[in-house]
Amino acid sequence: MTLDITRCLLESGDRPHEISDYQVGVPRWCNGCGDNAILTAMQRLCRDNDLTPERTVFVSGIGCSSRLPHYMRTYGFHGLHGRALPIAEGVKMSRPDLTVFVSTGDGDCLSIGAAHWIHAIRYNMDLTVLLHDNRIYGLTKKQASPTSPLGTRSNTTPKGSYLEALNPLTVSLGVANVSFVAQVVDWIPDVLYQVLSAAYRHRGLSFVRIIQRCPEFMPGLFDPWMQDPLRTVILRHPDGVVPSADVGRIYRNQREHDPRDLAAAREIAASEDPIPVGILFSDPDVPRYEELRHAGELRTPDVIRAGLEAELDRFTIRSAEAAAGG
Amino acid sequence: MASAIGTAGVRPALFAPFADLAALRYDYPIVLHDGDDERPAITALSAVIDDLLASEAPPGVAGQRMRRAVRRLEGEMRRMSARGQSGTLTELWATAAGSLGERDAQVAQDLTRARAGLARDGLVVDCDQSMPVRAVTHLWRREQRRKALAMRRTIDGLRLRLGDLVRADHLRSGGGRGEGGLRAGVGTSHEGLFDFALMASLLARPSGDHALSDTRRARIDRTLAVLRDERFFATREPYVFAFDRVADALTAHEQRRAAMTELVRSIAVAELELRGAYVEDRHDAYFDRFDATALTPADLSRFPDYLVHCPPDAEGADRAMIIDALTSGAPIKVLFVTDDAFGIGARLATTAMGLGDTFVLQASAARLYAVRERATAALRYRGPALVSVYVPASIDAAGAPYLVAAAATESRAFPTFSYDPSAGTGWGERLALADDPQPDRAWPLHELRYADATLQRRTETVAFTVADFALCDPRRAGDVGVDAPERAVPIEMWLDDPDGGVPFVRAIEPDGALRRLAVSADLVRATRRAAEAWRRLQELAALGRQPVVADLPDVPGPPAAVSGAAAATPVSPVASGPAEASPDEPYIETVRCATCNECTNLNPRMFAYDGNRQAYIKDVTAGTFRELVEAAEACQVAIIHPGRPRDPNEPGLDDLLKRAEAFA
Repeated sequence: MTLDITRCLLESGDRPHEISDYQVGVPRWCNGCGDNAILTAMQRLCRDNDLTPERTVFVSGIGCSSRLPHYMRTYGFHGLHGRALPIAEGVKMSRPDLTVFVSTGDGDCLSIGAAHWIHAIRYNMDLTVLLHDNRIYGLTKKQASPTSPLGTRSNTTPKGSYLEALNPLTVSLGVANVSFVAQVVDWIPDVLYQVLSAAYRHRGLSFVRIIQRCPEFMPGLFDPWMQDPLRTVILRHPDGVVPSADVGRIYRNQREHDPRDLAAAREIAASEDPIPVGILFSDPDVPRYEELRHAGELRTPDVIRAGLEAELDRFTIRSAEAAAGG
Repeated sequence: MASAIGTAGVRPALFAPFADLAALRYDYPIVLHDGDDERPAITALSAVIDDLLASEAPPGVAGQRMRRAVRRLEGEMRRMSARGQSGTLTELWATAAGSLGERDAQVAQDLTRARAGLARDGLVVDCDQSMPVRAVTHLWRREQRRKALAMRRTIDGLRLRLGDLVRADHLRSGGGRGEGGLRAGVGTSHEGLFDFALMASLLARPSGDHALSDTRRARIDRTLAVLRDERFFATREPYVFAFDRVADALTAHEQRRAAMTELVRSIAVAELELRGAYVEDRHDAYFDRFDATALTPADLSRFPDYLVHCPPDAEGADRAMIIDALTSGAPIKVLFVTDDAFGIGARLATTAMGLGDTFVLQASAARLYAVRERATAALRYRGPALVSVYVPASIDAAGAPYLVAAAATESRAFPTFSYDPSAGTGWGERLALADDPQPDRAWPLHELRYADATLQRRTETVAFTVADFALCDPRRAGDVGVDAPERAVPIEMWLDDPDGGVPFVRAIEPDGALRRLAVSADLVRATRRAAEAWRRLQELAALGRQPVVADLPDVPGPPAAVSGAAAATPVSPVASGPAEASPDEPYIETVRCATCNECTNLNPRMFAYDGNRQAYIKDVTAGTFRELVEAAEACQVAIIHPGRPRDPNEPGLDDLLKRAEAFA
């Protein structure tokens, strides 16, 4: 808004949003699915930051995770398999004023969309990326994904999967221009909400891996971690996660970690057990692609005319040179 | 050069070392740079040369040679400027380089190489009578262009997007869906491929209503017309905002006030329209009554400011209007130039400081370059501003206005200060004297070295007072003309002890002879008045630096319940937890709920979600103990605790109690 007056008028007419303002339809996820916790955390985030629904966009690819835009009463784009990130980048490039979230899964992002994932981190556009990582293709009834643990029996790997799982954190932290990497688990909603809030506030691409339960196709996979809170280490920092008293009482395994420390972040990222939870890395000073490219510059007649004039000037000089040469 | 200042050619004794200013590297001349980028708008010629040499001079002997050549060129340009030769940096460079290069080919080559690094051009201005108005106008213009660019972008953007609304409305209208409209939409390349008449008949009845109501359409058209025809930021026929008379500026502001209000109104309407937030029931009445009183200072500050240049020979009535203008609420910046440091005009800035909300900057022409950042701040300030500059009247062809102006600052006749109302609430924060020489003293002290009658070297510490400065001012010729008697005391000492004899100032003759000249009673009064004014400034600037009120006693912190992270987290309307629940009562650790819908699907009357969509037990009587146990077992994060059964006769209780033990 340019004017104080407009802002006052808008604020005077506004009523605070509630979670129900961001909810539409009935989620078609299985009972107990971790996606529900992510949806709730996102709706809380929208409410607490008073995001205007018509200026908020959720973009997704294909998979259980990618149904999330259907349940958000905002703009949404349910895209092609693996292509959530390029679509979101396009939206941000042409409309930098919108808040853009990306919902993607371990199959969508880390397998078919892996190239886009790497380059999206390198482009560092102002997007908040939620990687719903349940370590399985759930929508298509259980096939091994890049993060399925070694030996996972699935429809595509009936004798157990052959490869070690991919670690999305170490990969992300190895890409040039990485600016925000975090990891959370869906069963600690307080920390999930805090990390998503920090990811939203971060200006640049914030990549949040959310370890998520799939009670239908990977039942009990995370039970050992859920039953023993000491197998989760919470990364504390005044600029990162500060667990509430209730959470701190249960999850006593905590570690101070400065999100500016990339070397420490890489070391933590490599740890699978205990599961590190919190902000691993955050650097707000990494340049953003949409700014480098001046996205959203107004194409006024004056700007277009100036561009044409510049082109024609060059043409005139070259023709003159050609004439002189000829 | 400055040999003929004041009466009979005498000069203040402390001027003795400054015979040829052009040989010195000092703040002037300055370069008023072209362009609106972030780099400084004004740079001293010496700084331009230093930067150039830092980037262009090669290492070693070649660099030393280039430095020598360019420094000679700088001196030549300074001399040309002092002679009144005007031109841009590149023009003066070319002329000076031409005369130097003629004599020495190597110099010409070095200068050509250095010239290649001269990235920015601009007008070269010496410290003369026209300098203050040129420099301040230059800064003001740049500031206005910055504002205009931002607003131009806003207005163009609003016009484009409102135009899109109108265009979309047209496409949905009968005209847009008709055969002609469809044909125009496709263009000529492929028009043969379509049957537009058939398409028009198919599209005759679109789904949904007409996009824009008539009143909304009329409102948008009206808004577009105002945005198109405004003249505040327009590139064609823009309003003029620089004036020579205060009254003209005020009249112009008054005449344009309605147009300004209308433009702000239209921008606000456009912004609401584009967000789809214009609610006629609420906003129509507001905008019907919209007038100039609705404009906020922040909104006003987006509009151009009026610059009034009040020259030394301005009529008295116009000068008298300055204070009126500064209090009128108009966005006005007054540049007041005076050539009389003893006159009433020299006290205008001190008076304006009392207005409270006016940004005031006072500086002699010699110090204007040093306080250029403050001048920019004055021009950026959201409110009225006064820039008061002393520049000596043209004395004669050999005069050095820079030296006289610097003497006005040095003598406290025209001290440098700025009063910035946005810098804080107290005098100490708002008033800054930091640009004055030796600001903690009553008068600046300097060492005067001379040879006495026996040719012995003598050194005295002397003050430079207003009476010394009077030697530079032809208007004061009659006040210091008579040789002081033997029993005379320097004026700075005499002011402390008026009974000590006749006050004198030290002066030198053109031939270098030192004289002691008696000070007239009138000049003594002027000196005393300046001393008092300076002391007042010192006192005001010191106000608020020391805490007036002793530190407040420690205030007890907020109660634990509302402090810290717990208060920052939104509190859910119902939150049950282990702390307040008895082991017999069922409860849910609500903050750990992962919203998986297991319990709420099992019995939505018993389990419900709170404001954060986390589960709690809404009504324990709405279900059975069995349901509590089943919910606890189904809960993915095991946060439901069934407690003890309420109905001792519930069937299968023994088995349920055993299953519930896992969730105690």
